[in-house]
Amino acid sequence: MGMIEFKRVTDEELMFRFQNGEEACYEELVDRYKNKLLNHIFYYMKDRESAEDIVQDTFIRVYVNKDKYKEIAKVSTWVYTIANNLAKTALSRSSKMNAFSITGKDGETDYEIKDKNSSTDEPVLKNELNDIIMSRIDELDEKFKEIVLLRDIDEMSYEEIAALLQIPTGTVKSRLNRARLNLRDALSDYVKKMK
Amino acid sequence: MEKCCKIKKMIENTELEVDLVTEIPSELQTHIDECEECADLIRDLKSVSGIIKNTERLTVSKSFDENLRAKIRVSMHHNDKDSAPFFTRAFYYAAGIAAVVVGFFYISSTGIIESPEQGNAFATGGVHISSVEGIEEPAEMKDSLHEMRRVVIDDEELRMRVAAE
Repeated sequence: MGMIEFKRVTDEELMFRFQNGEEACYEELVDRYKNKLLNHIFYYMKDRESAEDIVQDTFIRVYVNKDKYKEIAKVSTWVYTIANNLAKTALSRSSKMNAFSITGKDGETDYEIKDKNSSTDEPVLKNELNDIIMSRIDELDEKFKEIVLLRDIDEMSYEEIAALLQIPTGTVKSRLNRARLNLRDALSDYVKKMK
Repeated sequence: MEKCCKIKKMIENTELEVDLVTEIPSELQTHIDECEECADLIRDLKSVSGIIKNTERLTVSKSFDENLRAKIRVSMHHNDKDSAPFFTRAFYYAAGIAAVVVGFFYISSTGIIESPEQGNAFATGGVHISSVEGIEEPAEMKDSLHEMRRVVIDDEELRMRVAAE
């Protein structure tokens, strides 16, 4: 597939071209969002396989309902809304709704973070740090957690987050500010080490 | 010594964006240069952001694209079935109803079914079934029963006569 060809094409244009029958544009959209969505959903599902299933279901819905997409919303907002709804349905179905207001009670969550480093000690430390960061984010109030994930993990703009969560941009900023202050306290030990 | 919370309060009140701590306005920079507390906070916030952004990310499995294509094929197949044009679906319904009606008339024409009100309109044979009173014996059977009863009575009369004599 022509990666270079699509490099400068916006998501919205890709969607428009896909609606007009260009399957390659759909594949490009999948490429752009599959890993982002996987990480986003994984934070809620806590299970890689379930998260991947939800990402696939999301893309199936995008494919099947391509004509329902209207350019008034950003593609990212549309795709994330579908994914979030599917995740929430899956969680409520499996009675894991408490995962949204995480307490980290069991401390046994199995995070399968992929490690690309070949160093012997580093992967262990990195995975440990990842687990700690994830559990600290989980401990945040739901409304703060969502913002941190969308901003720092999914790298969305304030406007995209606001559209997705249907809240004013100012609220996004204030929640992010508070979330970061909370995380600063929660990660203080690691922050000190980094200094 | 009392802690300074100037920057913290500004962040809490969204007067200062936490993402813009790298671009502190000059008037605040003077304060930060002199205030250890606020300088610490700014440094920490930068670190927190860096830590989160640098967490390891998951990547989808190798079979992701292939599985997705397969699922889409299945999904589209189902959709095609469900979304058959109105006239196609109407045709199937009409064909079903027609089959039932033709079947009914065919069975009726064999004379198996006869409603009491209609008399023998559909029946050509001697057998009839009443839908109201349940199954009745066929006319031929009635005749033969009548005949048998008469034979029995005749036999009985004969026996009594013999006994009398």
